[in-house]
Amino acid sequence: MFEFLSFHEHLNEIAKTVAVESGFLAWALLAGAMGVIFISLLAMNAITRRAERKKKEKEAQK
Amino acid sequence: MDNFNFFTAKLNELTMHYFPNANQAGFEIAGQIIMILVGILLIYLAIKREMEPTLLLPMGFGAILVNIPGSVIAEGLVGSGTAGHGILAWLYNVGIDQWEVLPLLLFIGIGAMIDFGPLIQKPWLIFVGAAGQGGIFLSMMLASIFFPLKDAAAIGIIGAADGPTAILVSQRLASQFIAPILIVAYCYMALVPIIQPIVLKCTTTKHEREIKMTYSSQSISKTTKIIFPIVVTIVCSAIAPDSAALVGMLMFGNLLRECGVLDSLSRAAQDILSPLISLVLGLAIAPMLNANDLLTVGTLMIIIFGLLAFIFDTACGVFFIKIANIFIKKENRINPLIGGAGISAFPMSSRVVQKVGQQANKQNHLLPFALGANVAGQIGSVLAGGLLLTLLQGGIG
Repeated sequence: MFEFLSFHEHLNEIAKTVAVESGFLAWALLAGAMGVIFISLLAMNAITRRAERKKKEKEAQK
Repeated sequence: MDNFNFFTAKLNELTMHYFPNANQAGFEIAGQIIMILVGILLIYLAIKREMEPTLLLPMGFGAILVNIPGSVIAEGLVGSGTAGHGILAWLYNVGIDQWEVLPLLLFIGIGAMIDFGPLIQKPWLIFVGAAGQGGIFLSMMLASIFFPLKDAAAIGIIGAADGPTAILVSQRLASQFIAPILIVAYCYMALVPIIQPIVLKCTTTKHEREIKMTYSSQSISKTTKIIFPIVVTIVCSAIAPDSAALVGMLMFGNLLRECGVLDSLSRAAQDILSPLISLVLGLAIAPMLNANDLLTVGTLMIIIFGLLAFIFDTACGVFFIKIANIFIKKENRINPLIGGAGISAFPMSSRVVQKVGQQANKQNHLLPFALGANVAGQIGSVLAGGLLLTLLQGGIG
């Protein structure tokens, strides 16, 4: 049989839902931010290696 | 409001039932004696067991100072309603309560100690640092059953294994449990070499621990090392504005280290600033070490949830790598132990992973990977703290 929750119980339920949602949301945002750092790292590494390769090629030409 | 208040009320009820003749003054003196014993225990742990001595030693001594009957050293504490000019109260008010100066300055020293080289060489390790923060959010969700959401978030941040972040988040969220959270966080950080091997062995098979990984070192240009802290600061501050102070100070410290023109300042930040600020921080937190705040059911529950946060953190990192291994070719599989290093306890966690890996296979050399995951965990923990502040200070809590 359906039972009506008291106002107090409603508040408790809402708080728990918010906790779960904000927990997962924060974790997802964290993963997203780390993803952006990952892409930045890949880009930085690629640019640096390319610059180093070009430098070596120039030295070899000389 | 919540189940926690119910437990506290029940405890008070039981106390009055079994000690009907006890008066308030008697309880107060008993509480002070217990807290002085706690202070002596902290000093013992700092000296004999070498558990975070730069912090636990001043904290222990501060606990004795504050709890001597008639002591005025903590008078004038913000929010206590007492007037006075106690030096420890002043340190707390200025260094922690009003501007959070001390934890933020400590981050400069920590940043100057970190070498992000292993992470820059193996960028995929950044995701281990993200997975390793799972314990913060999972324990926060569990703690929210008993505590108000903001307190639950502050308790969850114990799992960051990062003292300054724990102080800053619990302070900004106005948690009533700053002192127990800080003590529990630092004690568990010191217990990483005991807790983590057990969790690592429980979550992996011997066959998985034996997986051998070969490390190919690549050169990193100075420019990359200089750009990295700037990029991380911009990315993290844009996604979670409240993490700007935390990440910014950490990365500024790292920039000092990598720029190459401020070597003496970098060394000063590592060798002088960091231990000095830890010492002052330990004294500044002492006014919170009183029986009324610490000898509660809440503290006991914080000890339990703090341990859970550490266990979940390690397990989340391990399971993340196990899941990743499903999609990776057999010859390139990653040793799941590396996942356990995705927390902020640097470099203890890396050493634990290396040790457990070598116990399974003497030819295993996981340290370079573990160090990369460990520094990723440091970025992850400050970012997690900032994200919780951004989400919860925005009115959700």
